[in-house]
Amino acid sequence: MRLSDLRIGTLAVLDHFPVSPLHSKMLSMGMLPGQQISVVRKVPLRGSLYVKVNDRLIALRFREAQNIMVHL
Amino acid sequence: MAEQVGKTVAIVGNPNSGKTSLFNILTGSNQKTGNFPGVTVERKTGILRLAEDLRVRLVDLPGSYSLYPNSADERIATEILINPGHTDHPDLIVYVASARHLDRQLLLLSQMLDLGFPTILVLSMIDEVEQEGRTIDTAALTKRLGIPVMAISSRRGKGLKQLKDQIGISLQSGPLQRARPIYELHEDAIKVLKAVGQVEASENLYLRWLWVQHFEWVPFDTGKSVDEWLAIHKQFNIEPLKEQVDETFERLNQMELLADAVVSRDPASRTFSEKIDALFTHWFWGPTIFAVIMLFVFQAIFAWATYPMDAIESAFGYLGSTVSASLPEAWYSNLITEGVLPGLSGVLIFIPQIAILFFLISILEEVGYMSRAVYLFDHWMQRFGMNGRSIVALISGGACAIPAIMSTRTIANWKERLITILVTPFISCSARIPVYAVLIAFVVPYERVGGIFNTQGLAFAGLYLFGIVAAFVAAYVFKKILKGKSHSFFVMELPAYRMPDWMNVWRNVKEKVGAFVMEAGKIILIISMILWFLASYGPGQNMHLAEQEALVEAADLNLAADATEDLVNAKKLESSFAGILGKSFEPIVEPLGYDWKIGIALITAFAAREVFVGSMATIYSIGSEEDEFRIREHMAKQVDPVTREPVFDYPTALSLLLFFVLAMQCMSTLAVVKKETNTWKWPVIQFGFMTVSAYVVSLIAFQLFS
Repeated sequence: MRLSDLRIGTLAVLDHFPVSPLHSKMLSMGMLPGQQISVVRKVPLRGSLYVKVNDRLIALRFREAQNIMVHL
Repeated sequence: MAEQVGKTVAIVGNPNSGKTSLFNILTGSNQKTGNFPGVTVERKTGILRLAEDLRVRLVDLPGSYSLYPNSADERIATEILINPGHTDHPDLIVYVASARHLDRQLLLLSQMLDLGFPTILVLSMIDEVEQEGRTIDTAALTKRLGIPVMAISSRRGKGLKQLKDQIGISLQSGPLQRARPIYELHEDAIKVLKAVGQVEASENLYLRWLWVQHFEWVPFDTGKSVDEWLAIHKQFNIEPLKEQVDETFERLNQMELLADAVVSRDPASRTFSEKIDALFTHWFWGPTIFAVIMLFVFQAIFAWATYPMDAIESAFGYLGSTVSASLPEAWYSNLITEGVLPGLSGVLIFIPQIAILFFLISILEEVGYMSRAVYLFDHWMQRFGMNGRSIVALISGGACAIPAIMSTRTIANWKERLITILVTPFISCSARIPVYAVLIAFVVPYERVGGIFNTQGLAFAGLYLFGIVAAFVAAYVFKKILKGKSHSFFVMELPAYRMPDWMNVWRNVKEKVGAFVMEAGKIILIISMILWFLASYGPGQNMHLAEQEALVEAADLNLAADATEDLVNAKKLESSFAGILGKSFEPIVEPLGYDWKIGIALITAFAAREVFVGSMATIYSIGSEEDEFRIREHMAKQVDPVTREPVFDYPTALSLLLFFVLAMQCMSTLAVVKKETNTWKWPVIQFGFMTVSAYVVSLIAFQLFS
């Protein structure tokens, strides 16, 4: 499923994301497939997502979260 | 003392790693902030004193995550590190990593090591980790990485002496020798490098490999042209993005294993920051809290800045009267008392407000709150073609557009940054306040509303709001008009909340105030002198004749000495270059409800808005006692020579106020926009659309209400 569809508070595992500059940035920030990820909070109306990867807090856009695949 | 500044030490690390705090504490006051040539990325350098006669140059490289850059900042850092010919190319790297998230910050470190830089790993914020009851085994890290590792706390000055000693030692010990790189280039990469012909034993393979991947934008000579590089890429079928991802994966895996071995983890509990964020980033409470904080910030500016501003004003009043009393009656004395001193005071008077606003903004940045605001508002800002970070610029615009526009450098997407730059001057800055204060009484009479508010205060707030609305409307229009890559990305770390580092706050305030004084100060001072000339001289015998005429008239009316002088000054101004200019301007401003006197004041205000008040004082011959209330009184007494109606009636004052909200009346800002965008095109467009919209809105307001 897509990260953007993940419900708040549910713990999931980062699955994969397409090769693109955005994701090379995410990688360089230490967001790796296989890591645990959860959505902590969302700004309503397709606003930004506040996610937690391991113990790091990261904000990203809804559109970006649509490209990130996770599994439960 | 011998100056030995031959060696360069670079501070490298991720954003939010505590890099800047370390840089500040190591260099103290021995630092300079400038720009890297050709780009608007801040370049911070300083001198580090290691011993009585040993000094090295310290460079604070922009915070980066990797040598595969995603922003202008990161690109500069990468360029310096992979170009041995760069003036800032370091002999030694001090790699700063926050002890809190060590495992995520080792990617760039592993790249530094593979480039062969002698490196010291500095773990910052060690005290915070220890408070949480976690430990980091620095000895084990040293052993595994083969480099010195030290834990420090910049705030408490812990470990700094040892770090300085280590820098001295490491500088002696030449390039790093490691048995094998952390990331081994794969065979295909080696093949490429062989074909490129740079695989001598002494060469650093990883460095060459980075050149192969970054050939498109490296501005230095790699010995090959872009076409040659392209041919090589085609021949070997290189996919840079895939290479990057593979390399990053491999490095992160290795580093994570390493970090796991040395860091004791705390159980996955909700951290302090997350608990605060439950409220501060809440979809409803978050924006509410933001509004309250902003209200407090602007309230504080008004409340606190009054005292230093009054002090500056009276100091200049005293200085002016002392100087004019001690200098002989001559043109240069007038230039000083009527051109230079008012110009200087016009610059200094804004420093308190600007300093207070940036003091508060820096605190909000330092504690980590600003990134939350960016998170909360990013999608709203995006609808207007801007970026979450634009909010910082727009708030800063409430003090002065100059440092605000400079702060847009953190916005990576060009279109979003440009729109932010273009609309920021719509936000009412401190220079508009004196103008609003003088004019508002003509529009709304003072009345108490609901106990705590008053009508004029509300009107004031309304003008601010109008400016904000104008900024967003303009942004929306630009979003639709401007072409450019609209898809930008935004992935941002939300740093843990922490106490501000006061040294960083202080440096930031100093920098912003400095930017204002340097950029605006020069221009305001020069314009102030030009204005003095235009108002003091006229063509031919004009001025002299006007004086004679005024003296005759004064004698007829039996005026006292003071009033006679006022009349003489007013008549002289009318026949001066400024007066002639104002009169020729009258047909243009008449539809807005302004006479030639307001015309003069408006022309002068195009240099800087606040000059309007001073010009009014001169035009209505109030002399050197520039008191808001006296100016207002004089303005209220002005009547139209023909109709005998007051000049400053409701429609005229309203039209003027609206004009000041919207018009681009600040040459210093235009100069800064030119600097930041590297072309005159944008400042010209900005001047055009702001002034046209001001003219149209004022015209409509005047015609409707008169």
